[in-house]
Amino acid sequence: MIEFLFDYETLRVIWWILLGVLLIGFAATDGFDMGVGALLPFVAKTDAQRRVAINTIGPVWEGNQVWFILGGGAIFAAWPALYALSFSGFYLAMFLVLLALIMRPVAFKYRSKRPDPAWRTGWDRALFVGSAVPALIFGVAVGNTLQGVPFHFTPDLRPVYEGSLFGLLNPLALYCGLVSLAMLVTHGAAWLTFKAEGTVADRARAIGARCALITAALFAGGGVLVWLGLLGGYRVTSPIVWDGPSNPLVKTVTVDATAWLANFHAHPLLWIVPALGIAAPLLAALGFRAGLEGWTFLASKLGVAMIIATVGLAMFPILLPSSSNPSHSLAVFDASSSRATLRNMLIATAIFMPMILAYTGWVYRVLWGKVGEKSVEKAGSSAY
Amino acid sequence: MGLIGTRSVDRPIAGIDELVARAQARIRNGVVAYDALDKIKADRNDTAARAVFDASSKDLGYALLLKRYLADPRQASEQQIKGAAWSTVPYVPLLFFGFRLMVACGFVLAAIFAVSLWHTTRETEAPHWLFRVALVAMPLPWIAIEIGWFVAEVGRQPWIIDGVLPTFLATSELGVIDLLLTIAGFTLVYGVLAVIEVRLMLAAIRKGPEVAKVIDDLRANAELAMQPAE
Repeated sequence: MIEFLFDYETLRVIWWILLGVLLIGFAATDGFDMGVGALLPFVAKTDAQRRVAINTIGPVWEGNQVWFILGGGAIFAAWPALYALSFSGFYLAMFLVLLALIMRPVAFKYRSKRPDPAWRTGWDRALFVGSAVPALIFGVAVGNTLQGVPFHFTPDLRPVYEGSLFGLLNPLALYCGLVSLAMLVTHGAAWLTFKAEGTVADRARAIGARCALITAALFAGGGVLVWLGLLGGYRVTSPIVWDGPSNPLVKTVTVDATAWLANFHAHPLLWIVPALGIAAPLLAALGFRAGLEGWTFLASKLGVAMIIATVGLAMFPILLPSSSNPSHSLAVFDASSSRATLRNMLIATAIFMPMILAYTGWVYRVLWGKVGEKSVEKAGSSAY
Repeated sequence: MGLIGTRSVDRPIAGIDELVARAQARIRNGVVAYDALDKIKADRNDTAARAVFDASSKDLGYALLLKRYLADPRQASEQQIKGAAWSTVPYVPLLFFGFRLMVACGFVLAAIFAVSLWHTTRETEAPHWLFRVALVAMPLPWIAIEIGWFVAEVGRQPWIIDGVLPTFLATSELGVIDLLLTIAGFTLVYGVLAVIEVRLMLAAIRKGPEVAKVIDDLRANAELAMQPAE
């Protein structure tokens, strides 16, 4: 049993799953605080209301954001070719996202340092930009991943990215960005409904109910785009050697507009995942209206997980297709790090991940309960 | 020195000429590995080339050093092999003085700690100059860290992974404009944030610690109590 776990091919698939788990963990946790940041100007008009909204995520956003760092770290350690290619290929895009992400923590920390309204409004804007822009851009990144980006490897396996920043901002990728934005705003609204009191929660409930419907519609629309073959499609046509060397130059991949549906056709049970990707936001929409706060948040979380899982399942075993040299695409079986690296990291993950989940769960339990204008006022300068 | 250089107490430390001679031999052997690898790329089942590669692959990185001069290391001239061997020597003056400066920072800090510790055991208040020295010494740990960074990074050149991958081959394909843009962007953003941060810090310092306020309040109360009742 244990032996089987440490086969190179098993390790690769496990790390593919873990990559998905990390992305989902990031979107399901940091996603809602980004959603709250993006909702800030709409749910909170007065300073007291803004403090309520900000303090619902105040104690947890930092921990949530670590999922993002962990995701980057896992790509670096488990999928080094993907890391090298995406971090230098999408250099300027990453830089802009990073700038937005830098504004976020600074805004959290600085806004309450001075009572001056102009000061606070300025940082609230930074918080909005720092939350909404990444929420959009992460979807744009997924859109580009589906479509494929232009790159190739030299015979020395040095990656060369051939595209530009503006190539990444194409209409179809921006559509995926809207899916992501709607999804995370819904998630943020579900959190605010669950966690905030008074006007902020009421406004979040109204916005969330609409955004949940939009999310389901946009995601279903994305399915139609894939079905029409507009969102790319790549198929590995050479025999796959699952425990072969991590060399992306020894397989052949062809462009095939129906390829992203192939896994679902081959294993019809998988249709459950995209179906839940549509059904869960719809349930969340009902939950918003029915006032079932906890269930709404869970439904929204499930939606986030299923929407991201759909993308992974559609693309498996491809990680990042190359639109200019499809055969150079990065795949689960030829872009991983060595077997020993994957094995040692899996052991470390098996030890630390349960610990992290346990203390994170404990933190949320400690922080259980609503945040309202009164509690924020009482906390004074010890809250954001 | 022996501990750092060879991680032993009795192994001799090789001189630069010796190291360069060794590098030259490894470059020649690396070119053999490079040639074998090229044959394997052309025919993945070439067992003869694979045997040659397995025997010489530990020096492949040294052959890559030649890529600084020409695309195919196998075509390298005697002059270029010598040049590549000498390129394994990092810039010595910076390492020599940098290392000593870093260690000096450490000793100065240790001395300040020792004097401070001695004074904390005394009844009397520490002399004024000690506070001044401590204030001036504040950037020393940072300076030592920066110099240490330079010693480590310059010292391991030309390698990003020692003996495996030369630094100039490990860079991305990004152009000068991309890099300038982001350096300028980061400098600007962090510059603005630094100004805001320092202003907030100064405001906090001006406000003073809460303890002082408590003492002030106590003193004011005491003075009030001591005033003769009218």
